[in-house]
Amino acid sequence: MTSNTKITGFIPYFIALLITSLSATAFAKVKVVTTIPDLAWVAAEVGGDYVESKALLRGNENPHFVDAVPEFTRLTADADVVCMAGLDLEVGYMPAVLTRSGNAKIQPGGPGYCEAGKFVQVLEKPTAAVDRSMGDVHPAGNPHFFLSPKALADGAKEIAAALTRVDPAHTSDYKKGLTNFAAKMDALDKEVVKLLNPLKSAQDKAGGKPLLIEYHREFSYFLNEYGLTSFGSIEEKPGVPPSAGRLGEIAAASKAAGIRVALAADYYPKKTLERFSELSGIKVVVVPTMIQPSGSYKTYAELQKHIANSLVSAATDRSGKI
Amino acid sequence: MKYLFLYLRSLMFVALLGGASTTFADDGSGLKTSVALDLVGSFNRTKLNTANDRFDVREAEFLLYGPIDHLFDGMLNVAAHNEGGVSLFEVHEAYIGSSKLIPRSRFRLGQFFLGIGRLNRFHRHDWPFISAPKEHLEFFGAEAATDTGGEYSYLMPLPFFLELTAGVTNGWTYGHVHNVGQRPRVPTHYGRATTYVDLPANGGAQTSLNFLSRTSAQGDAMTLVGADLTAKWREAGVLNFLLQTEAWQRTIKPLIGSSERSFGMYVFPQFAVADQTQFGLLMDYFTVLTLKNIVGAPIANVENRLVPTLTYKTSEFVTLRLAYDWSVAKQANIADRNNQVFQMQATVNLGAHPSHDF
Repeated sequence: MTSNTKITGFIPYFIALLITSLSATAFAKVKVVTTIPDLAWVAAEVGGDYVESKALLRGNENPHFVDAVPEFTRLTADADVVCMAGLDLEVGYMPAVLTRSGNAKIQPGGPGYCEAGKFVQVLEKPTAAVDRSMGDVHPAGNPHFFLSPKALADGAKEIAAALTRVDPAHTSDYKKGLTNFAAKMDALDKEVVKLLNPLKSAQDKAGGKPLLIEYHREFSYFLNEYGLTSFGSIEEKPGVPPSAGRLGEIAAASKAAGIRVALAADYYPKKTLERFSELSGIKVVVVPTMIQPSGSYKTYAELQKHIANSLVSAATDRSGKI
Repeated sequence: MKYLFLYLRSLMFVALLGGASTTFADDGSGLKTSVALDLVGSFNRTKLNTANDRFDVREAEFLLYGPIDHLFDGMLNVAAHNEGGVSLFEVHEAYIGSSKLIPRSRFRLGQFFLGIGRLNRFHRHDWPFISAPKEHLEFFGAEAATDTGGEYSYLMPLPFFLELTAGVTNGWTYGHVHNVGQRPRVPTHYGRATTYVDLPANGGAQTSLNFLSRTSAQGDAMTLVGADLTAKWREAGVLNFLLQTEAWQRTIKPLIGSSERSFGMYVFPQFAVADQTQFGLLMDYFTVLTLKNIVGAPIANVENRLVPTLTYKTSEFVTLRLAYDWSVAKQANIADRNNQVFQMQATVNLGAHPSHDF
């Protein structure tokens, strides 16, 4: 066999390898890594078959207090897009994770850097200067927008924009995905409105007076979307566990104001919530604030409906009235 | 007079830093400032007088960091220590680095805490206990081994976390010293391989193997090999359980004469007794493996230390600690040396929000 024959013998293999590589490149999915599971779900909804998304958090963590875990670094090192809620929610760990990833694409200013909070109409943005004596106040405003379907649809705009930046070939697909997602959130919104109707009606009958209190102001977007008002928070200052004195005061004030339900995320101290319930006689509803892919509420719709049903159920007395 | 001059110079330096940070913090450059104070009180309970019997500023640290341009980040960390009754500022870290130039890589050039082990990579006010374990004190210094050079880290493209770090620094000095030193025969060079695994119930563990070597101007070849492990279980923002441990062996081969080998390790388990309160127990062990008498027979020796430590955090920015430091040094044919010190500590962080490192 001559050397020419040897070379030509390899040509079919070379062509097969080339085709395989090209098709792998052509069909390579955009790797999206998000902080909270809700955003991973949004990316999958908007990006469809062109996207492979994964969340760093499991959904049961307190998103304010997370370590820069080495595994986060590994996952972000391979990502095309890294999407956060933003509004300083992840300021405690994501800067370190991004820096250590050695991935230029997803650094601030890079095409794959994404803060979903960018397009959200932010609630509770401080109008005066803030400092730490006020507790853990987010200077950019309340970052818990992902509990409102409409605000989440706003957040999806930035996810679609990031996908378009890194994968312009599928711009129209992402645009379509975004439109469908907004419609899906609208439909869900209407369903949840119906579920919360008994509570909203009771609030209207009471002249708009609030019927619930939160442990921490992370349900603001949820309540705002469904026309519910909050008496305030059990915490005196955000992020600071309430003292015994504060607990006594707020329990008495809530009872006097006719509050029916206290709403808390599942990562807050159970003993404090139980003590509040003992002192005030008010039922405490503990719910997840994020999708939990390996927990009980795997989809966003399930989570929204669970929060709504839990609220109505807790506010309803034995006679079936609120 | 000399100290007065140094003190005034330090004050001027701090004033300049403060002014700089105020001026540039909000100008869009991204410069962030952070201040950490580490206040420690040590009170003797025995006659060995290892504690200074007063509450003192152990460290006051200014940190300035931010992006330099689209590729590089910079960091300046100056800290004041109480030396001879005067708090003098010195540069702890000053480096530029980037994680944007080489895929999966980051590097830094300048002066920094050498990126090996566990404690050596963290500033002392971020440690989970008050004072350095004996082997850290012996092998790295009271806070950390710091030097000027370059360090490169590469994250392996594997389905699990494996990061390799290598560094070379001048090596004119080693540890934390205040002199120029001498040109070494072999500069300080080190390596670290780190891996991480998720553990059940929101846990995770990081394990590393470490190596460091240097040959001094006099020809003393020092080699350090060690392993460290940190495991954490965090739930709902509360660190329910922490296990931190390091084990190191040092070998010093002088140009002439026999080698000296020392081994030390510590284990620090800590659990949450309440949301903001943790209790930990530092268990420390140190021995010189090659200690011999004048006829060359080995001398048994060991130094053990137990430090129960109570930590209370009012927030992530304030830590208050109480500890009882009990140690005993035993050596054949010499009376045991017992030492007991009561310690208290307050650390505070002002300014930019620090990242929660694993």
